[in-house]
Amino acid sequence: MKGVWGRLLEVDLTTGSTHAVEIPEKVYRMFLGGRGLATYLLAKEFGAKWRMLDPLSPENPLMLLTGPLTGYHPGVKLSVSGKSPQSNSVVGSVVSSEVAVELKASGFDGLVLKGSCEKPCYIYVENGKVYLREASAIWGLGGLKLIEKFYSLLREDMNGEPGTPFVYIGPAGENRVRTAAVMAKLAHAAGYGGYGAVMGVKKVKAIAVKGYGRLPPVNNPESLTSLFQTTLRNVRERMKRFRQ
Amino acid sequence: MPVWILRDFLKCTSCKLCEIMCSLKHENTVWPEASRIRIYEIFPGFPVISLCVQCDDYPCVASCPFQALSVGQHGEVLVDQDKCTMCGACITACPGNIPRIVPGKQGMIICDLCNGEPECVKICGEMGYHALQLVSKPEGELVKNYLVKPEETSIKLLAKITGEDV
Repeated sequence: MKGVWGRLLEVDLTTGSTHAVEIPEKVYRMFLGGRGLATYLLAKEFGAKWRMLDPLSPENPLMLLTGPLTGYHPGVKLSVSGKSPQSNSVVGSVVSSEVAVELKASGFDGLVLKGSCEKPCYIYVENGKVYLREASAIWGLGGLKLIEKFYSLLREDMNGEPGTPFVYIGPAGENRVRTAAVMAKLAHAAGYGGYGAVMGVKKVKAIAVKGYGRLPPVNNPESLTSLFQTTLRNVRERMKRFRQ
Repeated sequence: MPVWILRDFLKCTSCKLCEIMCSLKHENTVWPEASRIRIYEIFPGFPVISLCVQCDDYPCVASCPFQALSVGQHGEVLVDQDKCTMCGACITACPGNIPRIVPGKQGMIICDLCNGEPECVKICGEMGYHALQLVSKPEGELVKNYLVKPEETSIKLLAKITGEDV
C-alpha cells in the first residue's frame, strides 16, 4: 500500500496488552482521512449498540488517527476521535501536533485506546512499542508547567529524546468536563467534541510518541514536490487578490 | 568554493519541509528521522535548527579512529559508509552533538551540503520563509555559535524573548 501503512496500533489499557489491527485498502479509499476512518471503526464496532454507549465510560475508545497527506506536507494534523461527550455523536477533532508524523514513522496509521487505567498514567510509544508509566507527579498540572515537567520526567523514565511530541489534557479533562480539549504544546487544541473528558476517564494524562522509521513509500515523489509548488502558487495568487 | 548555510531561528516556523526534501534527496523516501537537518521545537514557538556548521578545525574528522570522515570541496564533511563502524566518536567530539545514528541505516548522518546546492535552502526560499540562506563561508570561530544543543538553546531563546528566567 502506498501512502498508508494499513494497520492501527490498539492498546487495551485495562490489561496493558497491545496488538495491530489490519485495515483493508478499500476502506482507506472509501473513508478518507482520520475523521473518515474513525467513523468506519466506530460503526463497525458499535453499529446497532450505538445508543447504549456512554461516551464517559471506559468502553468508548479514544482514537488518534492520521490521514493520507500526514507527514508529506507541512501543516501536520492529528485527528482525535471517538464518541463525543459533548454531542453524543462522532466528531473528528483535529489538532496540530507532530504526534501524527511520529505515529506514521513508527509504522502505524493510528493509535486506538480502549479500557481505562487504574492509576493516572502516561503512554510512551517508541517505534510501535507501548509503555505505560505512572503519572502521579504530573497529574493536575496544565500548560507550561506540565510541558517543563513532562520532558524531565520522560528523560528520567524512558530516556526520551528532547522535543518528543506529545498530546495531553489539563485539569478540565481530568475532572471530566464535557467540553475539555486534548491539547498539544501550549496553544494547539483538539477543541471540538470534548475528547479531553474521554482521555480523563481513561486516566491517561499524556501520550508521547517517537518513531525512528521511514514513512510509507510515496506513489510518485515528483508529484509530491510539485504539490508544494502548486500550493504555494495558489497561496500567492490568493494573497494578491486579497490585497486588491 | 566553501559555502555555508546561514540560519535564522526567529524566521523558522517549524514547518519541517526541509526535513522532507532532505530525506527525499538522500534516501528517496520521506524519512524525517534520517534527514540531515533537524528542527527541534521543545518550547512552542521557539524552534531550534540543528545542522552541521562545518567548523574550521573539524573536530569530528580529527576524532574518527577509522578515517571514515573526510572534508569535501565545498567544506562539507563526507562519510565513507564502508569504513564507518558507528562507534560514535564524532558525536562526542562535536561541540553540539550534531552527528546522529538512526536505527536501520548504515553510517553516521552528517550534512553533506548536497554538492553545493542544498535542497533545504531551496525549499525554504521558495516557500518565502528565508530562515535558511546560502552564503559564502564566514571566516573564524563565528560559525561555532550556531553549534547548538536543542535543549539548552531553546531555554536561552525563551529567556531572551520573554525576558523570563527559566
